[in-house]
Amino acid sequence: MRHNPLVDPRELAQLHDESFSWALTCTRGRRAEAEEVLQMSYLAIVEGRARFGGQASLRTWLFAVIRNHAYSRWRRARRTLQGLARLATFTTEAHEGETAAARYQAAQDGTRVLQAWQALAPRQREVLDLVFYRELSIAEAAAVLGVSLGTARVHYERGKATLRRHLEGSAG
Amino acid sequence: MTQHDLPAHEERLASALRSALAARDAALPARSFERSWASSAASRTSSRWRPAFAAVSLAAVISALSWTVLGPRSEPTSTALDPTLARELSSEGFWRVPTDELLAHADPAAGIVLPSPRDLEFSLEESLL
Repeated sequence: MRHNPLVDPRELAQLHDESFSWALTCTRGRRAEAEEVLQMSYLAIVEGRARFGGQASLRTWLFAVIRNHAYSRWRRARRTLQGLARLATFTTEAHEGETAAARYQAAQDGTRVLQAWQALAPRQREVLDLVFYRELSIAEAAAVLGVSLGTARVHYERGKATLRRHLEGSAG
Repeated sequence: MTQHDLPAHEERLASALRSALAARDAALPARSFERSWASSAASRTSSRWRPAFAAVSLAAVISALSWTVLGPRSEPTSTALDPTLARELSSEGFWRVPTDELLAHADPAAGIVLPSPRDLEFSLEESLL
């Protein structure tokens, strides 16, 4: 097994909780999927398949790796979904996600906000998570999402506007 | 731009989203870092062999279907007739029944004297009963 010389596992451990939280965002709150995505990301890092060049911060780079794995997994699942057998699994996973989501949403005042946020387009949802919740700059969020700064700004502005509209609509 | 640079109306929005996501993370805490590593190897192994299992299963299903559709038929298959045997079966003498020779080898008569039908006296009615 090759090791990534620029990544210290202790640093991964320090970022673990936040990494899982980001994986949850990338998998729409599905715990099992988030755990799998995080495991695959860690393995890719330790085995050297995901190379940290040192240009960005480790945290930003780690978020990008997690997001890439989440999207790879989603694309694989979408291909397999064409089969009938996968449809049943998807239904189960979706149900698990809804159950988990219902658990925390029912217990918190942020239900409305979370629902409105989850209704956003994936990139809008992610950029708002990165900027508002994880306090990244829009440039750093663009690096995580693998888009240009201009594109990230567009997603950021549209995300804010849509979120505000959803919240105002549900409040009225 | 970070959240510290946000105008007041955006800060309210950001604050609401932060609270909601913090609540989500509190409800769905991460498993410990060590446990993630422990289960990752098993997960990777199973995912590595999954395509092989799928391929073997598919091959088994295809073989079963092929056997059912193209397998051996119930009718016996014809085999080529030996030329020598064919000539023998075609000859006239093969099918001749040697009646006279068989009678020559038959057992001699047992010497039992059977009554002649002419000596028997019975009526037509008796013969019908």
